[in-house]
Amino acid sequence: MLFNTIDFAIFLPIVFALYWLIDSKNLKSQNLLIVISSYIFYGWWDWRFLSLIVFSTIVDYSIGRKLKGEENNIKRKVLLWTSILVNLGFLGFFKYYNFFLDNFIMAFSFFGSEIKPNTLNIILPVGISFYTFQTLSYTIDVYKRKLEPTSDYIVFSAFVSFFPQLVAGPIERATNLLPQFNSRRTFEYSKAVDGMRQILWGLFKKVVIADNCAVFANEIFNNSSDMNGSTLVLGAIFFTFQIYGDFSGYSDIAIGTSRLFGFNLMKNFAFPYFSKDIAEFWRRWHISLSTWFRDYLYIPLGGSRGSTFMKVRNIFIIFIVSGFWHGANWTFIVWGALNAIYFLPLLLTNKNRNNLEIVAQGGYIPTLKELMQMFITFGLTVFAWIFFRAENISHALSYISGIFSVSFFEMPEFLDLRNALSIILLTFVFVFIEWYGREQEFAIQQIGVNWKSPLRYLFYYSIVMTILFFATEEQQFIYFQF
Amino acid sequence: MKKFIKKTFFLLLPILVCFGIVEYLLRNIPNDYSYKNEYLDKNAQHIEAIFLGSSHTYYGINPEYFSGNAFNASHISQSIDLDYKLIHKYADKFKKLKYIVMPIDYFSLLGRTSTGLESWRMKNYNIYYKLKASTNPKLYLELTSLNFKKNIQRIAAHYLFDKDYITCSKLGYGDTDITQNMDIISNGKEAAERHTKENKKYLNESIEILDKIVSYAEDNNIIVLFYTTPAYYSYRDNLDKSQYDLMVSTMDSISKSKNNSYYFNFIADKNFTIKHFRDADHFNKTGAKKFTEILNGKILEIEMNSVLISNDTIR
Repeated sequence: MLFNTIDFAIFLPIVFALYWLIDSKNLKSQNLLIVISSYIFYGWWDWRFLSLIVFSTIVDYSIGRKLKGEENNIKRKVLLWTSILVNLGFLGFFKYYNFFLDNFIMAFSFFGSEIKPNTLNIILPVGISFYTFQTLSYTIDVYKRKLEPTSDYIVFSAFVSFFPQLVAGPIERATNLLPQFNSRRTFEYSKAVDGMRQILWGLFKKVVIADNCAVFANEIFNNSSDMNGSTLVLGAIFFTFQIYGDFSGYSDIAIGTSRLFGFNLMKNFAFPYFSKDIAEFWRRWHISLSTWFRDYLYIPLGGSRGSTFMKVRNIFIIFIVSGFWHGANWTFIVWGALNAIYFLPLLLTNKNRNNLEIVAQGGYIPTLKELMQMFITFGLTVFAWIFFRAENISHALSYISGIFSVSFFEMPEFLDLRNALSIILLTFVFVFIEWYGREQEFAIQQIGVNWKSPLRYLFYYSIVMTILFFATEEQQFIYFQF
Repeated sequence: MKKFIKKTFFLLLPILVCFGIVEYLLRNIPNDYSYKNEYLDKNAQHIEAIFLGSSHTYYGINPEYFSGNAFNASHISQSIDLDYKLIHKYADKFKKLKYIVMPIDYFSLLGRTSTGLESWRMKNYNIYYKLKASTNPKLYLELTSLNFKKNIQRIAAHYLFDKDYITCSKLGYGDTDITQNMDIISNGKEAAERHTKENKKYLNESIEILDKIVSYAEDNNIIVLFYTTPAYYSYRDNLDKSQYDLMVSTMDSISKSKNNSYYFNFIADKNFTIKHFRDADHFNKTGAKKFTEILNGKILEIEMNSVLISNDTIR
């Protein structure tokens, strides 16, 4: 079920009403309702893949229970690796089987051996990368004795399958989310209103910004060989806003929806396009994944300690793995490597933690230096997104060579110029609102809060009307495919 | 909690009221579906020949040139499952029906309106024909079937500028001639590619549907005439041979299995040249006139033969 569908608009109020109708003291029933509604939510897409979630849940729940009573270190390691192998095994099979097979075949043919390909027509289960990482975090934390394993199967099932963040995150840590299923949730008016506001802003980002930018980004990327350099630049910028609107919009709706049910999910985006360097960008983009890799991969590898070689190696590993997490394509690996190259100079010169504050905090406009820093960071990001969006490496390279040609100085060309201009204008308005609200959790969190009701309602209605008027055909969220 | 529900309700109320008004206005814009439904409701008992099918029939058969009382009940992208549902809906009302005329084109046995780009058209069958043809709740409302901007534009065009959304003639023929600067060669290739279906999952269901139509016709002394519409060579030459052969062999076997059904393949009929086509697989007005007359001739031939056979039987 997609957040931007009628189905979800019917589903959410029903689950909300049932959830709060159940006495909030009756935690078990509330948790059971979350599990059932989460399975319905997921099964709406393809019920067959529910078995994968259920299996993952059973495996990690059982391993967690066994780890609790086990003192023998070797046995504990075996249990941990069983969980890792089962979870990554599923992920590897569904997501990477054909990729590895194709590349083996290519490698063998390079050395003159012919292998008959036996690729499988595998459907990628929606959200597998997200819930796999979430369950893994549980087992690893239990193994490291950072977390007491739960003895309540329903609670654990609810943690794995919690519908607002099941298919595209934020990837929650067991240490944050699991205790919330064990404690009493009470309805808080201000929290619910805040949640509604965040859902509204998430829908705006997805439906107005992402889906409309997608129309032009797709047109330009799909016909890149016929486009001039300036149009290609605009295509990459359209994609830059598409992916931000799409993914951060999803996260906003997920976090807002959770608030309606009394849960607090972690922040996943913090206005990343206002970052002053790449290190700051990665502290603000897909925070739940970046911190996951930091805690469970980068730090165990040694982090930024050790020799320069070790630092470089660790940075490349986490960025390349992070790229590969997004999909089985060399384009994602190059995207990850490119970000590692951007990041390394900052790490090696100890400047990677220079920009920890919000840009122009407390003020309205940035300094010229800050503006330049943001502009350069944004430019580097746009360039990297070309690899992320391209069909393959040669497409990305031909796209880039198209940009760096004489035609860069020509006027951009659009089939539907009027519509393109209106989307560009809307994107400017969007950037302005995001800038205005950059010190909040989400851009419109404080806008209109102290206004008189009619004015505040007018503000909300204008967002709703913009969503309705700019709604294109229903588009899937990009991160569903990861 | 009460405060939250109350405030949310009052916030949403004006939006819901607006939605209700928009839906009401949209449903009251006359269109081909509401017109044809109303026509069939009123006149089904007088109809002698009904033409079903997709845009090939919509633009290709003009009942004005048919000798009997005929009606073109086709719509753009209408697949055979919907043809059957329409027949089924009016089955009790057809008192004089003698002929069901259905195109079986290259894509007919393998495609459905409910899947693919044209699936939004299903709302018309749910709303205007009340066929319950779809399980998707979105396709039971005008408001949710098309995007809001398009819907508001439709309301403005009809109520403010008097735009007519009925594009068919009184007898259901798609009475619009588009004279675009269109390259019929590339158009034929594109259409053929669009109509080529790798997935054959609907084949058996389609055969079952055709069997049901033929059986209904047999029980009611109705003749079913299946035909494949003429097409320009740029379309024909780009068809997938196995899909085309599958269509021909299936139709041959269906028409031979029952006495009341006939199949005519006009796809390469030499009577039709470029001047008869609006694009590679659709007729223009001239083509429609000529093709309707040819079909009329075929029906008269069938009628004559059946008269001769029955005379022989009497003797």
